[in-house]
Amino acid sequence: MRKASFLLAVVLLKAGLTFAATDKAPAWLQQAAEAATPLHAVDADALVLLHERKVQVDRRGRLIIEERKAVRVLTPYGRSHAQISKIYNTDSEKVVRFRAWLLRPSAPAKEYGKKNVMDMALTDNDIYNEARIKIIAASSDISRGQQGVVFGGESRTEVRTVFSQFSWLFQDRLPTLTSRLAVTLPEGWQAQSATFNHPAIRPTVQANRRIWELRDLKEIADEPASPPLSSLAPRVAVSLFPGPGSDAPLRSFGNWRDVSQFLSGLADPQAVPDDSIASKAQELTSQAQTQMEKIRALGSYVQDVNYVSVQTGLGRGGGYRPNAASEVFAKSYGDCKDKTALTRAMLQSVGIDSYSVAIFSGDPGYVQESWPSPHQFNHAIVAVQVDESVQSPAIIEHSKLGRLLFFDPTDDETPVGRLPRSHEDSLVLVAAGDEGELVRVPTTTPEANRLERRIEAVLATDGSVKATIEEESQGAAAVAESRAFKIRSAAEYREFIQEWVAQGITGASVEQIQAAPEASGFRLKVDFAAETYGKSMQRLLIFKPALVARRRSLALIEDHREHPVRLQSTAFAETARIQLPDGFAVDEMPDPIEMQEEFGSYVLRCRHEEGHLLMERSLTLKRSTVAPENYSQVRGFFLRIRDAEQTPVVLIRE
Amino acid sequence: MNTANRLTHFCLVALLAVLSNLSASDWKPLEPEHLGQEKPLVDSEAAAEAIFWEVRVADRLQGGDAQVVLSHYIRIKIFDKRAEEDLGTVDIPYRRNTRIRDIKARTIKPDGTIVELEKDAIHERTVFRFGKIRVKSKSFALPALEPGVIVEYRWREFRDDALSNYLRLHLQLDLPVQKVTYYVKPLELEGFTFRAITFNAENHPFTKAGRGYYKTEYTNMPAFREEAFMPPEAMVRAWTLVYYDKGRGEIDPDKYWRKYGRNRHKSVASRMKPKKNIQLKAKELVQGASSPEEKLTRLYEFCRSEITNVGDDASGLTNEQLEKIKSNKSASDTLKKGAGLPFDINLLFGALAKSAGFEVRYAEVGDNSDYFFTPSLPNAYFLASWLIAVKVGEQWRFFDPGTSHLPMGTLRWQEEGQQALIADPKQPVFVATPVSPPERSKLVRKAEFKLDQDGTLEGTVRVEYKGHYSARQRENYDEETAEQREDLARGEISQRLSGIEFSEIEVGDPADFSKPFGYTATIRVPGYAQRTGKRMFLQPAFFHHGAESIFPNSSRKYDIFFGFSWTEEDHVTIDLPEGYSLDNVVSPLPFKAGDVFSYLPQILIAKGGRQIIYKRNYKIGAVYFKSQAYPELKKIMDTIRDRDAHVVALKKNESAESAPGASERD
Repeated sequence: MRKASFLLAVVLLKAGLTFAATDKAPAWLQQAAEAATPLHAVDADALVLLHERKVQVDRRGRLIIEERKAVRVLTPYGRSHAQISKIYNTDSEKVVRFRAWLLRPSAPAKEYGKKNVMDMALTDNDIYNEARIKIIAASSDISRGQQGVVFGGESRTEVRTVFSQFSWLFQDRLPTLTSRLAVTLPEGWQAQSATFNHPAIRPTVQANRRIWELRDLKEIADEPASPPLSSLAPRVAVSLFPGPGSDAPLRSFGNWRDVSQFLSGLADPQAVPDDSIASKAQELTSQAQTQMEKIRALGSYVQDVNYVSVQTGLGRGGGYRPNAASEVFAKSYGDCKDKTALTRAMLQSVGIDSYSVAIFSGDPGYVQESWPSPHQFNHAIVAVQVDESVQSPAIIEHSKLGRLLFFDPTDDETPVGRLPRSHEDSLVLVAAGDEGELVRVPTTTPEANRLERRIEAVLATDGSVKATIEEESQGAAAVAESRAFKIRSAAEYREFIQEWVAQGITGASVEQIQAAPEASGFRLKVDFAAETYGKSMQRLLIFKPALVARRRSLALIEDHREHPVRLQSTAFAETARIQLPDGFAVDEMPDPIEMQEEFGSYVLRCRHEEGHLLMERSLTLKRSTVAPENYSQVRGFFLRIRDAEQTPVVLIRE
Repeated sequence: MNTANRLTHFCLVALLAVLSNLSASDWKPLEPEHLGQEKPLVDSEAAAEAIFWEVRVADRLQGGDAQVVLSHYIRIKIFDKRAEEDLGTVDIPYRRNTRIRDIKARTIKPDGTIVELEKDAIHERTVFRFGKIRVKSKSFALPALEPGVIVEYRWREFRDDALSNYLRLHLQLDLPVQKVTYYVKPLELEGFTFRAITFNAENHPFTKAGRGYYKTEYTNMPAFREEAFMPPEAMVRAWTLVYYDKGRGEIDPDKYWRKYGRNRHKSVASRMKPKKNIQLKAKELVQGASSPEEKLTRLYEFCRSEITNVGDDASGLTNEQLEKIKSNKSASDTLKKGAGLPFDINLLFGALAKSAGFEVRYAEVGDNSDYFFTPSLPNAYFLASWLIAVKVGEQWRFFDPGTSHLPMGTLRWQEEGQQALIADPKQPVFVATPVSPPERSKLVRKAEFKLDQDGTLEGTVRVEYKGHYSARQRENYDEETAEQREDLARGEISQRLSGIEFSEIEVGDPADFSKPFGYTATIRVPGYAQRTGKRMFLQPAFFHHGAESIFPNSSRKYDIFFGFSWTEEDHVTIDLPEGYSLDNVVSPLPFKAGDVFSYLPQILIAKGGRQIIYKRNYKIGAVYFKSQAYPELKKIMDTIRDRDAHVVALKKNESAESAPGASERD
């Protein structure tokens, strides 16, 4: 396949591809289609020839957004990229034009219009969301052998929004020849930009028009444990500032205090307790002796409130405005900002101050200080002002607001006092009016996310085994265990554990399970037996001392790496004590291993002691980002672990 | 309209509105014991249980147009928080010609407090729109949900241009139900009887319930949960089929099928009539053929390869081309156009065979992936597929050239081993369709590897599918893009072997029936063999390394159904590394259980002890096992999995330790 695409590229480089003359396709697309494929893109499935967005701003702040995209399909796989899409919200945006063309070398261009448009809800898990997407896809019109065809489309959208900021992602993962954002402003208006994931991009200015452009962008490889695309693809964010005397109904954000004021203005009035909330808060905290006990009682209650998302008024700030806490309390459901409002109202009822916090969930590296904007966030959590009696890894010292305990009321598995691991190290905005500012959420130590396992096993002469596994987990490890337990009935959980054990040991049968989520973590005890654990080979009996799998593992297969490896903070330790059958001596054991790297450590030791095989293994990973140049180090680390844990113990009949 | 009439009309409309409103807010009375109920009754571990689930199905004529109105009403008790995620929001999707109205919902707390769903909390959205296709949904969140509450909701669904004819009424939900009640109000249609058949539950006949309704009720229905390798859902989940049927009284199956078979012959015969162009083509195709088999093969291959099958996913046709093709009026039309739907292609084959002098009939057969058809059930609804029956000698043989991937003389697994109805003007008959032997559906895997001193395995693998195995895989692959096909093929190996590296992979074209379907790959598996200080342990059954248990669960509810029987043939060669020699190699034990299971693994030594040849022949000769046999079946599968995990030991030669560069000298 590589060979084929290379040959194709050479042909294109030399001669370009001549498309059938047509007046159906616009000139811009025909021109884009003339561009040659650069050498760095020969292995890609498709090449984006042109992607541009033109934003025309009028004096009232209304926007006309025109977007064009042209893609060349380079391999049979690339056919799926022959599509254009336009995300819009029905509240403030109207897509008035959306059409596309397929240029084929020996056939007239095919035009796609209204009847080819798929229009669907952007998310399928909200009971209502104004966000929608329009798509025109041409993949089914491109036959397997039709490589080199060019697909292009354009859209025009009219936008009436209160926001004066937007961003432009210069590429997705595909290589891109030309990508640009052009903004035309009314006389006297200003635009400021910030660049992410790329050295600063300065706009070229032509009268009232500013253009940010990048050319010849290479493909962004999709690699395991890599930062998400949002932290890799170049992006520019633009803030508009109306001219003096402008009456445009736009909200501008010059600094983070502006953003804080905006978010507080929307969130604070909704986080006021009514009598029923106050009464419930009093009831829930009646037995609480300490501030932390009060927070825990109220936080746990709101975590149990059902998560339901209804998104309306998006172009007018609806995405940032919670429903009133009283309404959320009455219905007992809401989204992240609703649950945040209810938490705050309840805390206020018992005399504890708190703030709404804006965070980007899914990529801790996403939010950048250089662009003050609410658009950098997609999630809301709570910061609770706590006194010195409260101790937790989720506390920071805020320069103006004092000690703040972060809490996510939408995550019903992460206990109050801890934060979901995905939030760690994120830049967040504490919405506290004039005092609000960006702060960084703390990270946890590996020990705070520890899974500790003890195994007692008896291996019989025929290779059968009886074993007891006991596990204690904390932090993120406990969250995962606890979730697996809570979403299943007792019978389903038993089967879940049975599957886990049986995948490692053929025919293993779980006899007893004791599982208990606790405030401090999660405990699990499993008794199981298997008839065929050890393999008899004449005089030998071999078995792997690592009876069951670690819960998580990282497979770094490729020997080359373009992007950093992101590791989560975690610790795992296991001790196994396996009673050996009479009449056998230990002939071989796995060699001891001790690895100590900047990002983590691993130890595996086996020893023979009084008829038992004792195995200890531990893996500790620090939350870290390993640069691509150090990839071989991290890859070698994990490969060595994998090999070590496959190494058997060899017993020999005496 | 005069004033008095207008007034009467207005009053009538107002009265209807009031009545409609009254009925809309009319919840059934709450039973105090349900408010205080602390544990589920049907399933002690259920997180929630429906106290009742009631559906009223009313057929009616609206200005001469048919309409069916379904009024749904469910009351659920929540016992555990884990039910909240599933039950917290309700989505009611619907398509064109369907409207959803009168949604009402409320939550009743244990103390009797009621929280009503507000009207503005019901959201209507268009989930998907493409051309004339439009899928909408009405959604709402149930308020004040928490363990202990009762929630209830209901809505009415209006389906235009439809009746409750062949409507499947489920009797099981994904949560247990204490009482399921269906009320059905069929139309009084002259000459038609409204009938119902219940499957997988004791039959509770519909009884008159007043106002034209008939009622049936079931109690303590457990939740329906899917299991791996279970029979089709219609064979295990409780349901009732309601339909209109001509005639009254008991139906005699023999009479029913005789009549049906004659009618089908009558309606299809004219479309299968060999016209001039067909006669000429048949003559051309069979010219020089010496046997009936050869003649039929030529006709079959012509239909498969020269007529474009527009109903096939892998037709390769663009949307533009598809739009231009309509269903054909006759076999003659299909021949003229050179394209047709699978049904058209079958009729063309029938017409050609007829022209070539064969006795030909149209035949219908059930679909084993939906329901296991039996003639004792006199209802053609279950005859879902069509075939062509050709008499060769004294025997009827069945053909289905409209299914592109089927070689001559074979049927889809869904159509095998059941009674096919052969239509006839006088005496329709049921004839059993053949069942493919396990040898026809084959999974052939070959690999040639070299093992390095560090335990890395490197070489090529080729996997090829045949028969039903091939058909199933072609169907899995043919809707995917080429990239997705490669990912699928990669996944088949990499899901078992972490750390595997692919340098090349090539997947066959699932639409190219002239070639066997499968894939080849060049791979490298670091750490495949496990090294100790003195030895290396190697699992020769490469294709089973890391394979997960197909039956990990300790028990199951439903029978086991594999669809078709099959065989597996593995052939793996592994060149051993310098510095190591084999240590007392023995083959894993074979296994046989009558004609049902046969497992024959073999390890051979070649090249003077420098190569291992691993062969494995596996056959499963039955497709259906009762659930009671599950423990035994699981044990057999576990035994085979265990023997697949058999390892051979390689001993490190003493000289090897002093020759670390041994592998470089190769």
